[in-house]
Amino acid sequence: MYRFRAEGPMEQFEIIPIFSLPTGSNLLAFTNSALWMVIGTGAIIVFFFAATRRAALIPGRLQSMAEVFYEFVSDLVRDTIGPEGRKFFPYVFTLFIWILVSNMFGLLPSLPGMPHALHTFTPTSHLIVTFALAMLTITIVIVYGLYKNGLGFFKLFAPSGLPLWLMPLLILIEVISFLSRPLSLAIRLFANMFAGHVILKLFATFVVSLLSAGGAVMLFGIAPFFGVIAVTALEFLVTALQAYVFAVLTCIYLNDAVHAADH
Amino acid sequence: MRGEDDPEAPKPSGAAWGRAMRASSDLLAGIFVGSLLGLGLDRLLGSEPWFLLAGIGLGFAAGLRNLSRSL
Amino acid sequence: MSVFALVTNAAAAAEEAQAHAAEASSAGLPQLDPTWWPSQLFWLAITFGILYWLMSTRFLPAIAGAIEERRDRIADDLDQAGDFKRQAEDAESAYNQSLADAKAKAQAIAADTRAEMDDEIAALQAETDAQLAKQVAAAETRIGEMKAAAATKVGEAAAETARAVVETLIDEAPTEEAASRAVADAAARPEG
Repeated sequence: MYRFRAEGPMEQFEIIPIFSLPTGSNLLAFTNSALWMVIGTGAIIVFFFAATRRAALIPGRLQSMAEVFYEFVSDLVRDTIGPEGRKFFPYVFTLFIWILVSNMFGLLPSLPGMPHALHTFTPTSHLIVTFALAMLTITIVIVYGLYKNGLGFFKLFAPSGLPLWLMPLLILIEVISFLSRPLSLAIRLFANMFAGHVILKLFATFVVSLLSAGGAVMLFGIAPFFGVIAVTALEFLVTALQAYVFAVLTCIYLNDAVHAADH
Repeated sequence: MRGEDDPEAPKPSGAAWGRAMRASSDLLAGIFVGSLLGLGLDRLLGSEPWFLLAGIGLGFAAGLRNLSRSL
Repeated sequence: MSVFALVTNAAAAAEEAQAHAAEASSAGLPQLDPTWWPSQLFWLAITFGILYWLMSTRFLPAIAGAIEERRDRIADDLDQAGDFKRQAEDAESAYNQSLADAKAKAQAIAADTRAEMDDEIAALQAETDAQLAKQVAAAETRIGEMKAAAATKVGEAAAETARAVVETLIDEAPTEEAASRAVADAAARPEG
């Protein structure tokens, strides 16, 4: 009988280097996180390459799926930012699809007998990754906002109709609020992925330990086993929802940059 | 926020969990950014811990501002 | 405090934090271990950058093109269908028009024919009527003549008879004239 190996719930988040870059330093080593970023991105590229290879008038199954994604994000951008949001569409689309695939691939089961470095890994379960995506958005908002609105961009931080002596305090608070919103976004995505995976792992570990106990005890593993299936289904929903939330909030944030001077 | 739960309708725990997550991340992010700015200014000016304290306070206010914006 | 001191200070603090985090990571969250942060950021930038580039230059325009083309094509097809419909409607109305024309013509011909036939019938009838009237008149004259002839003959016979009767009764034969006058008087006298 195959011995199920139960890991601790945190082991799935460990970063394991696979090989170093020729620079010699381990700083930018190719790790399991990088591996799953490459796998996810590669899968997206293969999918879209196949879907758009022959752009047909009557779309095939792949093309229809790609068009569903396209229309979905396109509607989101148009509804939130308006026609000016068109130029951010590729960014929001890339963000959405990258996060979605990264989240979802992390739910795939690891192949048994694989070395730990090749176990499934969710890049978005690391705060630094979601934080970087949030910082990218913030940078785009500031740079584009200043370019588009000039100094009018700072009207974003000045609430109107308040006594003058309160202004400096409120402006400080608004600036901190502005800077912390993407961070809040990053924390939310990371925490959802993290919590979901921990719960899943705890459930699964429970099942595995019951199953490997053998005998009649194995029967008690059945209920938690269906629990694992239910939680996995819920997790798939959460991964999609979080990718969507990230895209929506990015759009709302970008909207500020586009319409800062209108306030 | 669009697309997510409607505040009027009490929903099962999934929506409540989402709202709790949103509220805590909003508050936490505000405090984090505020204290980070305070810490940086303290390091720069050697005035520990005054800017850090002010930053935490302002960060808390900003977190509440985020909350009021998103809820 | 000089800038240099500030930097070394910060670096030392960071190192300390790193050591601390590394220590914590063996038991705690791998997410808080900064050792692999540069690597994660580096590979994120590479994969996300490549994906963004491909999306914005290849995939999204291709999908947009396909959707646009389909929309145009559908609009074209709708236009064409509208044209066809209009043509069909035109043809139908033309057909209806010619049908109505033909009907009217047929009706006119039928009316003409009927009128002609009516005329003919009327003429024939008039002719027949006239002939009949003529025959009737001829018959009537003949009947009148015959009546008159019969009446004279009856008078003559009556006078003859009267003469014979008188001769037998009184053995004297009245003249023909007297007998005739008496018969005429008797015929003229009202009866009873």
